[in-house]
Amino acid sequence: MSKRVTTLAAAAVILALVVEWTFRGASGMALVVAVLFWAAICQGMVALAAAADLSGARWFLPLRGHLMGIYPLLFAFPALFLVFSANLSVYPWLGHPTRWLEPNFFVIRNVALLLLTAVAAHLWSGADRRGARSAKGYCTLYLFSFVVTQSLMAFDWVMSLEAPWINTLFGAYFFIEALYLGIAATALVALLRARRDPARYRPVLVDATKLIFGFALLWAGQIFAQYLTIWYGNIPEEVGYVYKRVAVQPYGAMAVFVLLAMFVLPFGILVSRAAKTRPAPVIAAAGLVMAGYVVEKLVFILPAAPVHPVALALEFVILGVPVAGYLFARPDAPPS
Amino acid sequence: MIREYKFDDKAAFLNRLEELVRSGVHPRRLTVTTPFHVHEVEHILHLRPSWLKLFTLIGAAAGLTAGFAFTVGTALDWPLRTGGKPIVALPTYIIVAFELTILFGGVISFLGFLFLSRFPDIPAIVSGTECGPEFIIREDTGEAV
Amino acid sequence: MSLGTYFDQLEHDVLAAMRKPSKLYWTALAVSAAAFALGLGCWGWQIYEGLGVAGIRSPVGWGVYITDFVFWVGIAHSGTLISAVLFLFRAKFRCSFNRSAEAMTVIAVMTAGLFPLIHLGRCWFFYWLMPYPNQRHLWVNFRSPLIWDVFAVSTYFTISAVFFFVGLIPDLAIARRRFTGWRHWVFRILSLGWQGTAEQWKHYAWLYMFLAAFATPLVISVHSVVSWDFAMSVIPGWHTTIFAPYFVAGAIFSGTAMVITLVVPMRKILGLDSYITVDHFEAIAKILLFTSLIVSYSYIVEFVLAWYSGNPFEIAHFSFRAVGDYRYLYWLMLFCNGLLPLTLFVKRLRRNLKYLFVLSLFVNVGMWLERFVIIVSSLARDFDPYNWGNYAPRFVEIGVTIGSFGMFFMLFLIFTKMLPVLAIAEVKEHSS
Repeated sequence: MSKRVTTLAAAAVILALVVEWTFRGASGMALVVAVLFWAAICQGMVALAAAADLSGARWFLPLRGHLMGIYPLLFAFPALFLVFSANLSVYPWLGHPTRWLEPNFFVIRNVALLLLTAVAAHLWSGADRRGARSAKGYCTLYLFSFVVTQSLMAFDWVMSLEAPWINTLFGAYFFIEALYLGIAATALVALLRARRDPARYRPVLVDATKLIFGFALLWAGQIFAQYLTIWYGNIPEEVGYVYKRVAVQPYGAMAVFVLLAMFVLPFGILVSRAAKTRPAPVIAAAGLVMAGYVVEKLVFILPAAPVHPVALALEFVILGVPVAGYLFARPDAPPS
Repeated sequence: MIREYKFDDKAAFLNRLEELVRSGVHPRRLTVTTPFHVHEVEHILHLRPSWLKLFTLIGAAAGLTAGFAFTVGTALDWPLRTGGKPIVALPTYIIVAFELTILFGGVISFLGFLFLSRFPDIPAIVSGTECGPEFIIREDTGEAV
Repeated sequence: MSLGTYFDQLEHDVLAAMRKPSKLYWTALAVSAAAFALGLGCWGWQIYEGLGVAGIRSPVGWGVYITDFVFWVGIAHSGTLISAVLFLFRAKFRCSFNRSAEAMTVIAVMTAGLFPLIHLGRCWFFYWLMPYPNQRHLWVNFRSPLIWDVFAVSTYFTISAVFFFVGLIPDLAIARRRFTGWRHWVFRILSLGWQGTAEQWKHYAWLYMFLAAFATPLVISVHSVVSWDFAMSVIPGWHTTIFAPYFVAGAIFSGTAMVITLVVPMRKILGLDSYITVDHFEAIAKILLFTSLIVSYSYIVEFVLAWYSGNPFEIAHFSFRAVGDYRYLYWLMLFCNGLLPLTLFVKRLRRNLKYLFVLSLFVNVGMWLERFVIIVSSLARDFDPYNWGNYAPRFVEIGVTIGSFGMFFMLFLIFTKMLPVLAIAEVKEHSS
């Protein structure tokens, strides 16, 4: 199985390279948006497995192997970032670099971190399969690198588009969103498995949907904390960023959609007990969360940098095929 | 006549309860006391779901409404501009409404619990009835003593 | 051992803690009460002489009192985490701690609630904080974070108290059965006539779950609201978006440390070793480690982003924290909160109760210092150099702080003798 996934990942990288070369810089941040989304799902799922392991959570066990097994795809992301790095002209600081926002350091540190995340996941998976004691250590290393990688995705890839604007919660916000997306993906996988083996997977599905519900609230709290602080202080150098994305159309409408898709609707759909196990509500909630994530990244990025819609659609599908293929086509793991 | 069955063991208690119900004893004639919550009892005795959810929902809705109504209402009552914020500054009112949702939801749930469980149970307090650490089934056989 | 015998033993052991107090207990109670009396005396002196006897002046208008307020509200959070959040996550180890943690929450919120009153100076006007109709048609300013605090902390106290009481009901019924005399009557009334029937448990289970479900967002929102007391300003060091989760993690961190500080000696003195095991403490230590990492992450992000932004005020402020007049407190804070807890990666240390106890004391100190450093350093060095000024607490403030610790420990000691320190019914449920 791992070989097939690795091949798909390599194919995705090559295809993305082809798309980027075809558009020759006109794609803007399209690859970044696609990578942000799929990296959030893949890294988020592995992080979920890691967190469940370290906290001794048992509800997760039937899906554990499946979620950990996605790690080979993580190796695609540093390669994809390298593909993107040919096109750093979207960043305003390129012309006047500082010690931190300097192109070579920028690329090296992000590629290194993405690679570290993938390597840590690989080491963890290997140690876990062997039953080695070092598994817990690699698991912790993965979580550390996941947090730092997602934080830098926030600070470097997205926040620096509006340099020197800062938002200290942005990094933590991105990795909370990655976990959120990981849970949404887990719920979808659990739903699919529960149709074939309800006794084993229904409890997992119930817990995953409860977590979606909880994370919807957590997400809302985080976005509110950012919005409230910036809105209340009303400092010119800070508030312009929010103003451009909330009061200017079409970004304002997109922002409203994000709020509905990532909080209001999943919360409302999943509040009843019955909804937590029926397919339609779960698919709707998980799907909305994922759609909301993509639109949100567009709201962050579009006012500051272009995103070519065709390039985005192509790269989204290119990266999505291996991920979805792995998640939904993998045969059942034997009961662990 | 009240027939009493006492158990130290949860499994034995559940078995006996199931037997009694299967043998045709109406659940209404059985009073069960346990030292902790046992989910299975509710299934075996076909107890109706608790109405507590309704109290929680009403409480939370009341809190949310009261939170927004009060904050917006008082702001419009004397429209004083503070800190350059709009008169109806919804981001700030969300916080107050959120807290009141939880406050009213929690307190009304608690009052609902007292109401549904008929607490405080004055006759029980006055008579000093005790509940022990055992699992007890009391069957009202309906016969005279 | 049969279940019946185990239940009997459990009830006996836990309720034995409520028997006649030892000399050690009376000494501890006397010391706490004396500290509390000192605090009351200092507060009385402040009411008599005016707020000027405290050290707070322009520009540092918020000092030790607000530090104490945030500190005690923070302590309270961990109790709710252990009771409510761990309940929703179905963590088994929770039931050996949750009663003490819930008591700690209620007592800590009561202690915290005193500080806005103390800080008012003219504390008899406290009711102006409440929205009530008056002939001047004045309402409170709902746009102010200080009013959000009033609502958040009042809600927190009410829900925590309700949750605490609800959790106690079955245990009060047990205590009712085992005690005689006036205590029997108190438990008889407080237990509301609880019999443990199926109907009662049915409603109870739902209520407990709803209260836990309400308390969870409350944990996050209350300390977020407290952090927004600072973040809603514009001064460097305060105006930053990360404050909400940073403070919540810090609150759980300091609260968990206080749980360890309280429960390690309590377990030894009351002989509850078999019910509160080293495994339980290891789980709590992991929470301590995890929240310490979040706090360290926040320290790093704040510092690095200040430098990244190129904003001279942000850079100047964070330099002041590191090398300015309060640098010793700052570095001690980093050591206690960021560095020391890293030793908990070592499993042997996580399972060493003496080490955990000592570490928890350092964390308590470190977290108090963190609040002090954040509050005082930002006010001491804001935008305009003409407006700079340092702050040092005076005897009244130190006395009141000692008094708050006295009040907390005194009330906790009273709790250990008046109510069961373990959730007996829940321990029974998990052991069966």
